[in-house]
Amino acid sequence: MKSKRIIPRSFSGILVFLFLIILVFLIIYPLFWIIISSFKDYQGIYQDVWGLPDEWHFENYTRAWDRGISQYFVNSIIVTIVTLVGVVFVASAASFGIVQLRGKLGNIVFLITMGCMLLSPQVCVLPLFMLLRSLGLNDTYFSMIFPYIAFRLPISIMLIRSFFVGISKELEEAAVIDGASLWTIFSRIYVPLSKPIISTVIIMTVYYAWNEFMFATILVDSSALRTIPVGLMVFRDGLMTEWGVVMAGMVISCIPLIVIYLFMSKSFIRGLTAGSVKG
Amino acid sequence: MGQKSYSIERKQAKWGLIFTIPCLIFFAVFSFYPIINALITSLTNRRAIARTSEFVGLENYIYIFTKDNGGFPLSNSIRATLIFTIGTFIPMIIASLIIATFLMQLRKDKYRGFFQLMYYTPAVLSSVVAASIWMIIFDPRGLMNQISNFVMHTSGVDYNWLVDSTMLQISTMMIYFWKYIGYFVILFITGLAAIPNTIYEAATVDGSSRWHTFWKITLPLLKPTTAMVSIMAMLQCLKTFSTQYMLHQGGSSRFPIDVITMNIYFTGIRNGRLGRASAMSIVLFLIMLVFTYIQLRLTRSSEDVEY
Repeated sequence: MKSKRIIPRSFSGILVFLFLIILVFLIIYPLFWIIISSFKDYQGIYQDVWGLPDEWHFENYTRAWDRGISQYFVNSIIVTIVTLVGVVFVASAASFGIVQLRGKLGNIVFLITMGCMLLSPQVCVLPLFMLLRSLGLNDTYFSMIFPYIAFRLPISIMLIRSFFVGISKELEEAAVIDGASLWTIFSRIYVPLSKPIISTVIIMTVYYAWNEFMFATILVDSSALRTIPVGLMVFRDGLMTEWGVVMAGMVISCIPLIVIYLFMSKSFIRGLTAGSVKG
Repeated sequence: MGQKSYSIERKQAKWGLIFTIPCLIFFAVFSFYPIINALITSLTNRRAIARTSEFVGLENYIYIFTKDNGGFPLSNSIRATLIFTIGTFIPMIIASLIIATFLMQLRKDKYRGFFQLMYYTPAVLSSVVAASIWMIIFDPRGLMNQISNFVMHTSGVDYNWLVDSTMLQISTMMIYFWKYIGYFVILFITGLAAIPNTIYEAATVDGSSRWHTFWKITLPLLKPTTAMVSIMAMLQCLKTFSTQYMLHQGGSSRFPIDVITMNIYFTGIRNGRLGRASAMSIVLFLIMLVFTYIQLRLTRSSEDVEY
């Protein structure tokens, strides 16, 4: 949208611009500060809060990696990828099913999906804790993966279904006459045509699974299964005096998402607004 | 042909159901079963360690609303949650509306994209990282005390950001505000972009000042968006757990920031009082249900708006 109500290059226009720039500085500065401080040693952080490090302690990063971050990183990758595959597959199949089930039955399934949006993870965490314990899943990756999938499904189905509904029926009818099975129609027509929305779902799911903290800290017992957020907390509590190393660990943990965010910010922001304003 | 396509549709419908089965299983096991189980457990005296489970009726509900639950009553949690919610969402809505309005005044879309990207960056981080960053900043020797001393013209005063109960609550609000301000700015921009330019042009032609245009045109037209965003912000704040939990883990006292979710965690999982904690979960569920219902009503009415 080209803005027509352009303010003249006036004094107030410059003030607004300055305000926005200062705000960027205020919001970004803590992140910048963490990155700078992650190269300092203990003395450096507290004696010279503002300045650049006197000596760049790159070894903070290797130490953080060796002191446990590597294991948390691998766990997070496993949990994120399995969750991602599960969400994309189950959500697109369900959306396809809902679209195929024209009429009442499709509406019922869709209503069930919407109903699940009313259930927040915070309400379900305690009963899930009891459930996973009785299923004996409390010490596996699945104690994170299954709830993650379940709580990402409603929003993902909403997004994918709204896209599927818009796919022209002509292609599908031609394929049916050619004798294509429903599975072929799903995997060869619907999914390939829906790449934009599926990529949005992928980004939102990765973002969620990589950062999720509550389930990961409550539902998992074993320290060997900790994902990055829980690991960082333990890491921080264990290394209270080595702030430089702790901050290096935090920077490492953020790199994957920041990279995805900077390169795919459009999909990122589309997912956010699509999932909320139209929710 | 008519006969054939009818049978194809029947076939499609049947197989269509099969495609939805994995999803329905997930919902049944990990969404519906837990909430039903919570409801049932809330009516029992179930405990994790003693492994008892007897039907006690509404005793848990009476308990959590009248007793002090070992020093951390639900009434305090509701207070903490409400203060956090109100103290976070009102400044957040006002600030994000102002920022979004300013952003819409920029000449080029490219600039706006840059600012959005920057403002939203903290939301990409996990809440653990966000809380940890601020805990270092709020540390007695950290950045925040230095800034406060500079601003207040004092020197060497410790403002007890993570110790004093009022400051602690303000700190949690600040962390949340910092993390989510960009998100709400983006939501407001979506709302602002939907207002047609012709309205503004007409106003300019009529000689309306920008200040006047904002109060008399933008704000009233933005009412549905504002209502929606407010409810969303409130829902977000009601669910908060990580920030408070992290600060408590880091050594801050629990009482001032003992939000409902945190009380559920401590009562149910740390102390093993599953029945009582389930009752709290149900209370939280009902509170959120009311807000979600309002949200749905607003969404529906905001879709009818015509400019």
